[in-house]
Amino acid sequence: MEMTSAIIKAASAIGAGLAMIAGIGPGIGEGYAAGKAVEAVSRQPEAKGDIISTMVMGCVIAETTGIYALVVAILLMFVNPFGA
Amino acid sequence: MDGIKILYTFELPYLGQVVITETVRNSFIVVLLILALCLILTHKMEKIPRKMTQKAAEKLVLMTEKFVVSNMGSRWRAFTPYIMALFGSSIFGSLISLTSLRSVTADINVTLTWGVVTFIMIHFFSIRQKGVLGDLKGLLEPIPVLLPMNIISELATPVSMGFRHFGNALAGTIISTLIYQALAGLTTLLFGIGIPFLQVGVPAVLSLYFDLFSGVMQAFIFCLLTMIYISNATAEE
Amino acid sequence: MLKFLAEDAVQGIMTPNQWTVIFTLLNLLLVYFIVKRFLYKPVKAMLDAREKEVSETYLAADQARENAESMQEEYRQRLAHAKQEASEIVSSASRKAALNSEQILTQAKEQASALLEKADRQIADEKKRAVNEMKNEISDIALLAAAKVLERDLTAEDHERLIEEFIENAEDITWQK
Repeated sequence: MEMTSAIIKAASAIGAGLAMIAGIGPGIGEGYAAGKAVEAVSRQPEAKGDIISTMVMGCVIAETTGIYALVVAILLMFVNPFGA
Repeated sequence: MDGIKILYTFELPYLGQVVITETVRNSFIVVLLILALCLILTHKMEKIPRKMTQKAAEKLVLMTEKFVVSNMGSRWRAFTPYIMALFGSSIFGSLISLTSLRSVTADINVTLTWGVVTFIMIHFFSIRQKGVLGDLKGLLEPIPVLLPMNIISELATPVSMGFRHFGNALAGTIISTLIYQALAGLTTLLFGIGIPFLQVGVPAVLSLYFDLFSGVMQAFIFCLLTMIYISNATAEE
Repeated sequence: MLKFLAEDAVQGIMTPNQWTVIFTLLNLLLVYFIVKRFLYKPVKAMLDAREKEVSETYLAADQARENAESMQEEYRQRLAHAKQEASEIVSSASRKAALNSEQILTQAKEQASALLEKADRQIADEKKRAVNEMKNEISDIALLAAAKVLERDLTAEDHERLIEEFIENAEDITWQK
């Protein structure tokens, strides 16, 4: 029985770690968006406000997947859904 | 990583058992802090500003108003106090962790509530402007087939807002806790004494990033998202 | 009623808690009213009051400037008017003076001519008188001379004739002043 619990705990921790690999996607995507926004601002500094709010909007949508990964990781780590 | 401490509970006649957690206590502290700050900033204001506090208060109001107007247009000027309230609650809720209290925003109940308030506001203002049918018609755009996707993305708005803020604050808290434990282990390992003196200065530097920077950033993003969602939902065609 | 939990009761990290939700909503509302009542409204009122005062000051300044401009215009007009009047006065005065001087001149001329006439008349009178006097004197002298002649050998006829002759001659003498 103890063995089962230990395996579940270990698997949950590994699963949380694996879930956080999803952080790569938003990282690349948001970095790309921010780079493009910098280009846009340097080309048209007067439209800075619009560019930044549009970029943040896009980043936020791109970040959604990362946040879902974070939620899954937190659930696996702290909520213990499989009952250790 | 510990859970949220339940400080005390009491029975109310019709409402059942009221549970006061650490989060609730800390959020009351935040409210008192904001009240005190407001009273100090606007204490004895004069027509010609001489005191730093009044200058700071005016700067704060004007900056927030400019922030709101630049994102939502000048007809949403009256929305400024809500953004100030949200920003203040969020920022002080995050920064309260600098005083070794648990941050208010590291509780999913708090951030999700704020997200749901934003969600309700989006649809309240949308319905007030376009009517119920006009609001629902937005779900069928650009083509009716996308209805399920649109419903999911609408519902994902408060969830993603809440989890983003919660995740950032919690990540900061988790990393702080891990650093504390790691430093304690490191002192024992390196010097063989039970007094974890490495815990004195090192976490402060790291919490500068994990608490201060990400707390301010998340408060800013939460307010920006609230404004952008509301102004998008009520955009005039 | 209030019950402290002696043991370290802990709520899970993702556990929903309706009381936390309710208190969060309450606190958000509370913070909203606090910010609105104690920060936003007083600061806005202050800013509005300042703006109003500034615009009033500007209005007053504009009014004062307008006043000053109209006053300046009035003064300029008045000055122009005064200049015109002055030039009129000067010209009328010079006209009058010219008239006067002419009058004076004519008067003087008249007086001078009158004086001249009078002088001429006087001279003529003097001359006449002098001629008469001379005539008398001459006749007296002639009489004297005649008497002296008579004392010697002259007749009355000679006497008479001599006088006549003498007078004739004497009348030819031109008198000079």
